Amino acid sequence: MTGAKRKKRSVLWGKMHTPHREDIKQWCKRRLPILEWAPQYNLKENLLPDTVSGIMLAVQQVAQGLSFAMLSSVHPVFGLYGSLFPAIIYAIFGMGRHVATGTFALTSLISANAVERLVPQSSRNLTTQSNSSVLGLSEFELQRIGVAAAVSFLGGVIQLVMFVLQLGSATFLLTEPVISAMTTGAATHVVTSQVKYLLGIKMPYISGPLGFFYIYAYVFENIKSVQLEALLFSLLSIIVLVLVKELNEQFKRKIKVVLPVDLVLIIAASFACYCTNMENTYGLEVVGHIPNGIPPPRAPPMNILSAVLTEAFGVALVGYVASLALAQGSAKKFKYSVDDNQEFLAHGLSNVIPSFLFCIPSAAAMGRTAGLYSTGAKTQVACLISCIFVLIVIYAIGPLLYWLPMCVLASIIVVGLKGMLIQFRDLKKYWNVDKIDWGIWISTYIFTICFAANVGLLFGVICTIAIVLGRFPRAKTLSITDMKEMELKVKTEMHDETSQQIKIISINNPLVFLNAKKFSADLMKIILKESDSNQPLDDVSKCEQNTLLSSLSNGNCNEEASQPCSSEKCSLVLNCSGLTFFDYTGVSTLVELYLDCKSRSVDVFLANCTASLIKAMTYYGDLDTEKPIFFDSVPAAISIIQSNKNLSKASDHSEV
Amino acid sequence: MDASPEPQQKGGTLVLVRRQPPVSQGLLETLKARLKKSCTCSMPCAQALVQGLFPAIHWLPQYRLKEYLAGDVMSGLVIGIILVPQAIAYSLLAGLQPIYSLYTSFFANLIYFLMGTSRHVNVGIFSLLCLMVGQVVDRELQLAGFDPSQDSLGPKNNDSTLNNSATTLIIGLQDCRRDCYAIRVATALTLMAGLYQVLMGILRLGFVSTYLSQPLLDGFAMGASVTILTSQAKHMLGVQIPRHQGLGMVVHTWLSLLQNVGQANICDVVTSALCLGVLLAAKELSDRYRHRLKVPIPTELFVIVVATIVSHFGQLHTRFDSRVAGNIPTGFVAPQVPDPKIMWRVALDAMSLALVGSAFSISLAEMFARSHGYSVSANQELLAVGCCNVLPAFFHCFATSAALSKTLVKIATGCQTQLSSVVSAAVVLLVLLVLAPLFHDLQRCVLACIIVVSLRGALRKVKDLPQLWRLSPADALVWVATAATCVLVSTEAGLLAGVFFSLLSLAGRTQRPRAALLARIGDSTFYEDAAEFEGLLPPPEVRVFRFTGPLYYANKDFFLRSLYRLTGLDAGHSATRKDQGPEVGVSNRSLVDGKDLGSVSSGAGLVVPLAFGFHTVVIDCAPLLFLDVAGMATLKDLRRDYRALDITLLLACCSPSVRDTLRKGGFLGEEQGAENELLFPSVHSAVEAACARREELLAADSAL
Repeated sequence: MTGAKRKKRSVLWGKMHTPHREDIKQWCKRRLPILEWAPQYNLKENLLPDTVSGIMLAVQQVAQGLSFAMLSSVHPVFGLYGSLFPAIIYAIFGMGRHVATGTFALTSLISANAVERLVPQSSRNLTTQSNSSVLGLSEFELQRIGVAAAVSFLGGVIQLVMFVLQLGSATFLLTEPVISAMTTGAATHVVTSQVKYLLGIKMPYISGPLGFFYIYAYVFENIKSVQLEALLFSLLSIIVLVLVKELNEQFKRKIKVVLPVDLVLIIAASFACYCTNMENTYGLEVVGHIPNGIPPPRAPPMNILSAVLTEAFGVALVGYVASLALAQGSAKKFKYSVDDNQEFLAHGLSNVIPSFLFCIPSAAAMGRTAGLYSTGAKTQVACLISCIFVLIVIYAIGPLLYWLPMCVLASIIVVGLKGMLIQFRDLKKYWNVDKIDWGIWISTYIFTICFAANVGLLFGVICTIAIVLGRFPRAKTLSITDMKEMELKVKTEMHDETSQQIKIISINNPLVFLNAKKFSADLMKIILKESDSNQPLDDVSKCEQNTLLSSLSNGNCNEEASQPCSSEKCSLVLNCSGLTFFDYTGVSTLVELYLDCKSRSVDVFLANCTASLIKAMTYYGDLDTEKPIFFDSVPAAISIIQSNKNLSKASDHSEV
Repeated sequence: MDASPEPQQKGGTLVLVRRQPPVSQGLLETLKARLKKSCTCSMPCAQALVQGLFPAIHWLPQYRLKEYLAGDVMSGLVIGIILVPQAIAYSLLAGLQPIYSLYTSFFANLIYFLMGTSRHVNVGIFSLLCLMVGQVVDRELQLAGFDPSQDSLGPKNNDSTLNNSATTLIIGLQDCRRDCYAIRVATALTLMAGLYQVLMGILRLGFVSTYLSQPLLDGFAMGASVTILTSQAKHMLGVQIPRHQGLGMVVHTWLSLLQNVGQANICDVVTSALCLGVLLAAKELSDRYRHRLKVPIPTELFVIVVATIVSHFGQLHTRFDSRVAGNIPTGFVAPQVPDPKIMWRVALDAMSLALVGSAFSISLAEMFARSHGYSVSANQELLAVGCCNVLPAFFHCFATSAALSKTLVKIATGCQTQLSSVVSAAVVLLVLLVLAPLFHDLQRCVLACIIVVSLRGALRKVKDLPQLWRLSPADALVWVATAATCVLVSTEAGLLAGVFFSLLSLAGRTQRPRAALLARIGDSTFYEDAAEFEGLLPPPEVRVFRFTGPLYYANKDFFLRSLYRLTGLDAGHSATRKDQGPEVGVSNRSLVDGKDLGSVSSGAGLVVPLAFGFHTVVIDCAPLLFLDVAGMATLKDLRRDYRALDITLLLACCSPSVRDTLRKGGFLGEEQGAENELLFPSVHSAVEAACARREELLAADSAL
């Protein structure tokens, strides 16, 4: 038998690493991904798709910017700024090529909590008289954008701190069911927050735990005050949006350019509202005055940072999770890699720097990113081109949006969330594959609806960790290796010898306090069955015993029914190659197992043990030092057993 | 081994046992069958239920008088003698009158005799639980406006207190003195903890004790022992210091002791030193001559008797102002229902009390069952310990669980069954009815010394820490974290911290399992790690990969990185690159067609798959414990990428649960034959199948 010996490992010393200019250059390349892909930009192949994607993206950025600013309880013009500056910064620092950074529904919703709490609607009358020179907006609006900018600033700082702490490596805790459920639950929140605009109901701001249900209760109580004009306008907008988007999906392959239905709807609605003077006749709520140009930079109010800490954490966490999921999804689809920690830096800067420029919190959005997929974008140049068009809107086209009804913007928001709400269909997949993941999805969704997106996210992570740890005590621990061929080989060497009872059991998992008890019980069960089969039984019973024993194997019989070995001593070989780590309880279980088998006249040998396991077992208990217990491999253990048997045979012959 | 394997295999009969397909019944039929089975009531079922609830009914008729009686009576007497001083001492720890400890010892022993499944475990006063009860009692006394630091000292106060309690019970007034309110809090806490334990037993939550590992319990006992030692130091020195609660209790108490050490009572200090010396010396002698002495020396009883006599005749209380135990009344008090309002307030504390009591009781019962060759039921133990808390709560008792030291004494003195508990209860009953007033003049510092000396076993576990560190550094860290949090924060926080750290260390280690390429050992069917062993034969053009851990969301990326690194091929990127290159292939094909050479085209077809050096990847799934959705998606993507590169992916040694997950997840496709083609019982059979398939392809190409 060819014995395999353990290799000698040589220790290599790592040489001292002195800083070089190339290291500094490489660090800059790592932290500024634009320096890596900008020089290699292929103008001939990529410029045209990027330009087309940029134009399409600009339309979505303008529509969603106005909408999400409204969602964030600030003036719509700040949404345009939020669509411009974060995208530029992400193009410089981000690694996702198809990630469209800008305003985001979930972070806008979280920011609205802070805005409504610190600058409530009731304080509008107090400040309406004094007009500020900045953009011609009232002090009330400036206070509100100050709060939103403070949330953006602090959220970005938290993300930068996470970047410094290298917390990008902890993103493995976010599983697909948790992210999917969290985003679906948060999208449900966004739809709920838009109900008042869709129906034209005057509603006070409702938030907090179970706010979801209070909003719907309020709607049902005040169902008679619905404005029919707003309701009809909303229904018409939703129908048009859904139909045209479905047509875009069907004719996507034939027509490369996607029809910008959002832009057409905005233009048509504004024109209709302007012609019929809906603001005065029917009392519809419109966007109002949008000033021109970009204001000079101003720092967010630092004295309220402590007051918005909770919302900042929510923005940092939810924004990063949603963006990272999109970046990893696009990286997986288009076969490139994304550094999780670099995304922290990119999104942190995308929130910190724009907060000085009157921007609301930003993140990557699923709808815009899906748009980049379908229009064939190649790099972040598409985002930069979209920024040019957003600039045109800010400087030229802005005042024309005065007559845009709010219910149309709400419709655009709701239809834009279709991608998240469709994730309900994943429930069927989870139910078929793993019911536990299905349960995680449902419970995370319920927590997100009842409380907040970050609470649901935290619950999902804790639940996932607990379930994985709960599986350890119930995992199958042992498998019996096939002994057929080994016995045949043994027979060829000693024809007259009867085969000794040798059982080879593979330990396939780490041995810790969670599963040590089950491991011991399973092993004792196998040994007891082995002892039962040694008792004198007739052939029929032996066949039954073999059938029972074979149920524990991998599909092969382990014993010959025609070979009774009742007088022979049993041997047990434990293949410990799968025993990757252990703890105190695991070692004590192994030692107790050894002593217990010894008292039952069963020899125990351990093969493929790691050095730490050998050291731990010899240190823990008083093992028998006369005969060797630890072997490098299973065949080595079997050969030792055979040689011991030969020695006992020789001693018997010498006595005779 | 020089013999060729082929002839031997032909001679032997290889019997392949295939796994039966699971018979899938209808969901409705399954529910109906289960309901019918559970609703069926018959005499044998009822009889088995009663026997399960009361194991004494089962083993008492089979009691062997000749063999068992002597050992049981002897151990019962010894435990009873040891139990009385410990009960009186531990009541000090729980902040209650000594009489309640005697009640607790009496009722707990009786109930466990009826319901317990362990033969050796002694259920009664336990120092850790007394500490937890005492903390809750002190907090509730402060909230109710009583002064917890006010010790009822003189016999006059005790007489008036007991008289007022009797008057209160007679008249039915709601007002209540300090001691009366303290026992009310304790009984409410005990009832809630017992209800939790009974509920855990009914719901079969005995497996919860699995999550409390031995180093965690040892660390918890160590931390709690330091807290107990701190709480008793003031009694040993006779110093009057304010009671500290909550965060940093141990540190604040020691600071107060150091500040007030000048006011120590000389009589108490001398008595404590003498008692400690005698008790420790006796313990050492008992440990050293354990084999010769069948019965351990009841040193606590001697110390109590001598100290009481000295204190009585020396009149230490009146002359030196030393504090004594006070009056202990005889007889029983009428049963009383615990206050529901207090029960709701202490519900959270009762939960941690129930968990600690359950964990220690179950682990002790299983430990001694394993060493003596019988089995215990964790759920029945939960029911028994729960009833030991629920029923005595109506008789002015407080929380109990299994106690390690008394259990060890039981075994050493020859205990065979739980009949010894009845003997112990009889001894306690004798003290309750007759001997209780004799302990009036016992000094409190003597009781404190008995408590501290009994912590010796737990405190000595510090010596095991270096050994634990060498065995498992992770467990040592769990031990230290649990003990430190117990001392610095609170006992409940220490328990939670220990559980959190142990589970976190386990989760961390499953994320980075070991990955290896396997190779064959000579001519055998075994495959081992090529990096660990010499003289192995790699299978030709086949890569065997082993990943020792479950495949789930936390380590699926590590799985792919390990596989790509060991095989030297990034399947994802290579598949993408191949998709972008069909035009080059078409141009090559046109060139070959132009030359009209068939052999050249077949040669070109053969070269492409071998560009990576192998045509099949076999994954050894024996260490694969389970798969979740992320792991399933990873395997699907991996197979798709390999298929794009004309590489076959096979799985070997799948466990039945992993096999079921693969089938449900759609990995095996729609046909039944796909399972046989993709899953193999062993690595060797997978490698042989891959080589056979390869030879078939080569033969077909050569035929063309």
